[in-house]
Amino acid sequence: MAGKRIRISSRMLFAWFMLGGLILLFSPLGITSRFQFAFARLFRWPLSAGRQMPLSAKTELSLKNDAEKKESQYQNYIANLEAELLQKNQTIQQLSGLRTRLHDLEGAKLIPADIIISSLTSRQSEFIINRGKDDGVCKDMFVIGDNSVIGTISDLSGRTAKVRLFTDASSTVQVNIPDVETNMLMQGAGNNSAKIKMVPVKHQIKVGEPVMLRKKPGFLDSAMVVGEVQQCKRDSKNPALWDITVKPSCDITKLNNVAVIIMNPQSSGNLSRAENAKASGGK
Amino acid sequence: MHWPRFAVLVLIATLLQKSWINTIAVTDLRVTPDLLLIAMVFFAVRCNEKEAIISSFVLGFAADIAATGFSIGPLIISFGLFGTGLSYLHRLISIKKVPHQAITIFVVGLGTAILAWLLARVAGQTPKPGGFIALIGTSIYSAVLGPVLFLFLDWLMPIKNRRRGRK
Repeated sequence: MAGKRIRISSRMLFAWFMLGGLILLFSPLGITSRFQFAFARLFRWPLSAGRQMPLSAKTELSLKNDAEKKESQYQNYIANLEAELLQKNQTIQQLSGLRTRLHDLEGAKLIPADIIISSLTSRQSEFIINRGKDDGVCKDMFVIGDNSVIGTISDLSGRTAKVRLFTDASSTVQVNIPDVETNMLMQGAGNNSAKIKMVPVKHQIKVGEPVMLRKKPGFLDSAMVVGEVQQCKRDSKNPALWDITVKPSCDITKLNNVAVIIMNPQSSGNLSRAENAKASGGK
Repeated sequence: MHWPRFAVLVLIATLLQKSWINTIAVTDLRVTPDLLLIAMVFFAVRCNEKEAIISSFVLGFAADIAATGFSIGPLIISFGLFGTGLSYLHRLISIKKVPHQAITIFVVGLGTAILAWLLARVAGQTPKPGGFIALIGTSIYSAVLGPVLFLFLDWLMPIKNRRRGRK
């Protein structure tokens, strides 16, 4: 009896699978996103290794530049140091350097995070990082990469979080350009760029001007750079408005690690893993 | 059908789709092929109906895990529907020649993406706009790469054709 095979018709099989699909489709997002986070956590190593391949390929191609050569020399230098000690030192140096340069973040806690998965296609611009609720990370917190804000936390689990980049098509943030006294909305456009529209042409906007993310009390206490104006032309539909293209301040495709900003660390609860790592590194 | 081999293949395809695939992105739009879509079409035209149904839904689940801008669900259903439909269609129309395979992958690629987008809207999600040009680009890239990968998959997953329909 135990060895008897269960026969099921193709139609029934299809119906069962459809039912399963529909249940998942209408399940709350918080439950279904756990599958994605679990997958990212379970296969962290091969996913990270796969992500490193394009990065290393790009590095080889751009070795012609002197700046890239210096970067390569630095990489060789650090490769001689012990791996674990190096990782901790780098983290501390990154954070202390960032605080020195950005005085407004002195009171904030910066949680360093590694990028597990990056989805940078024309359709989406997202990272999955190895920090989550357990580290004190919350939804809508800002994420920094190479001294500029690159995105916000859009979804999170215990030990991983999804970062929606400002270039993602579903991202909209309030920004301003220092010399232009008007508030603007920046909408992600995919393809590593974002758009600012609804700005009257009476404002003078120059290519290369920095685009600053407006402060958001509780999440970001001062304006921070998010990108720079790449192109500024009249809107094809409404010539009285600018159509501004913004490119991120840092090369997102080459980022390996980022930092999550917690502006009010006292309220973030228990000591995070990042702090523990920092404390042990400092001894 | 060698199901353990199929499971390993799906896992590898999902990992590649999620990490390595950006290496072969083309144009400024960073258009990449959809490996899971190619695998779905392969199993739909090579296996019998039951195996095609199972493989299509499993590959749809893997495609949803590979995060294409939706939560879990839309791609399971669209892959399942198109995979099953393609399997039944293959009983009537033979899809063996390379141009036919490429056209099939292109059409199924467009169909699954549009259906998944609609399903996500119906479920109250906010799928990403994406862009129709990028969608067509992904389908074309998959259609070009698909027949080549079919040769590899034929070698990796030799499937005896036990269809009742046309041979």
